Amino acid sequence: FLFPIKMTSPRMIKLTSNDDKTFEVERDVIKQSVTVNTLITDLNMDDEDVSVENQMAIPLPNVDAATLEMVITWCKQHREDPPRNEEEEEKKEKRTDDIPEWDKTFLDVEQSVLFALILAANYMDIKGLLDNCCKTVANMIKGKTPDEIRKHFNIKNDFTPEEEEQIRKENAWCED
Amino acid sequence: GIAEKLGECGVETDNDKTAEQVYTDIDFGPEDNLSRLPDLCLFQILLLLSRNDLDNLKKVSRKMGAIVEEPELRKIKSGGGHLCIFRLPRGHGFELEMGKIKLAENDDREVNSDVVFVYEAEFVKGKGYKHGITERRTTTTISRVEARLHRSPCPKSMFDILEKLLNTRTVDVVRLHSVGLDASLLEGLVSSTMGQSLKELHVLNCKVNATHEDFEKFTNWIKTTRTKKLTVKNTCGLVRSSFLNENFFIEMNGQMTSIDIEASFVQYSKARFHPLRDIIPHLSHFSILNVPSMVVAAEWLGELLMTRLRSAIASYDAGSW
Repeated sequence: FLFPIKMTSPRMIKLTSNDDKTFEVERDVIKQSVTVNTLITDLNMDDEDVSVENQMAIPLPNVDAATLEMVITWCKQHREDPPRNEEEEEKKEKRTDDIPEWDKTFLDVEQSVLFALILAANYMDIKGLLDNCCKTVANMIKGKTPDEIRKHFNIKNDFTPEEEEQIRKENAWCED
Repeated sequence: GIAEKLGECGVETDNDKTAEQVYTDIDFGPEDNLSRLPDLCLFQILLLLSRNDLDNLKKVSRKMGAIVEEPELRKIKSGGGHLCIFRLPRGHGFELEMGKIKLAENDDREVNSDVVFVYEAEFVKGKGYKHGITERRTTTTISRVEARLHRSPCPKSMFDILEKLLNTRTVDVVRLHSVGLDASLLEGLVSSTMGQSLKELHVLNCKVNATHEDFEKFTNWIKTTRTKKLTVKNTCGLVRSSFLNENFFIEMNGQMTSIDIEASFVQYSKARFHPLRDIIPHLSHFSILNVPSMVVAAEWLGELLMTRLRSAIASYDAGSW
């Protein structure tokens, strides 16, 4: 009794970064990106019975290869996450101390990498990743003085001396 | 091809201008990634910050200053404020102490020290009120010498300043210390704390000089600020005024959880009241109920206990235990 067993391999999607590197990723994994998901649906890529070799790659002109690789890793880790209910997320108290442990370690990277991830998550519309990146940056700002924030993020103080004086006086508005 | 489709779907595919080129158009520091974020992303980060952090960020650069002024971010108030209104030898003052910044758990970074705003206004003969406000970062509150009672009303300017401060801050605790509870104070409190939600109200050593209408305003203020806990100490005028009557409990409609009135027999004996049995449901949720002027029948205690038990069973059934 040998029945032909049809192995259903997961549907793969090709993504190309802005430095022309192509990544193959499972359809189920990349569905967390609303941008890519919409494209796949709009381009009827789900319906086509095309092998991955012949499939057109989706270009992501705002994401470089290194960042895209990280985004895919994040999506793989979170593939089992329940779908987000945006209305409930809006109502939730805004906290920054609830980043999952795995994400904390994953996002413990150089600032340039973290900000590239924010841009990629924003462009690819991956809410979970964007939220956790934003929380990580918010935690870096919390409790710091203006000078410490400038130093931490390499922000240039572009206030004129007059403006600085104005800021200094700001809290003395009611002194007679 | 896909590029065209991407355009149709509203996805930006313009390769003529890379992100790097766009950024160099703006004069930010070479590694200033935060300022280079699109405003919407930056906005999402700033929404997670407290008022204190936003105030600090505002002083960092022009871009940060501009984005912090966005109306949505201006709604973020610093919380945990303690407000104390007190009397000075020839005037009044207040101290507004903002709580420490709560960082994420397991975050061992140091927090900013408390911010205390101290306002003092004293009446100078022939010159009117001389007033000033100072802001300091300290963890200790100022010590005040008890001032003798005087009849000068609270200056309106005091509440104007308080209102301005409370535009961006929330107050949890209000302490009225050795002040005259009169129309000027009550009106000022109502106008300056509009929209606040109080956890505690403490009235200590106050002299009452208010009309029936003023007490109605006071009750209404406690109601609108959703005050949870009321403590009255050494303020016999308030105890005698019978503002804490049956209607008070009905009006509060379950919002308060603690009322603690400290008064001697002489103080409360004239203000004693015997509420109707209908009041029992309005008393069942109190964790502390010390109102010496309220006289209730002994058998009510059993009924009160049963009401509490029923509500506990109901909340257990609802799974909120």
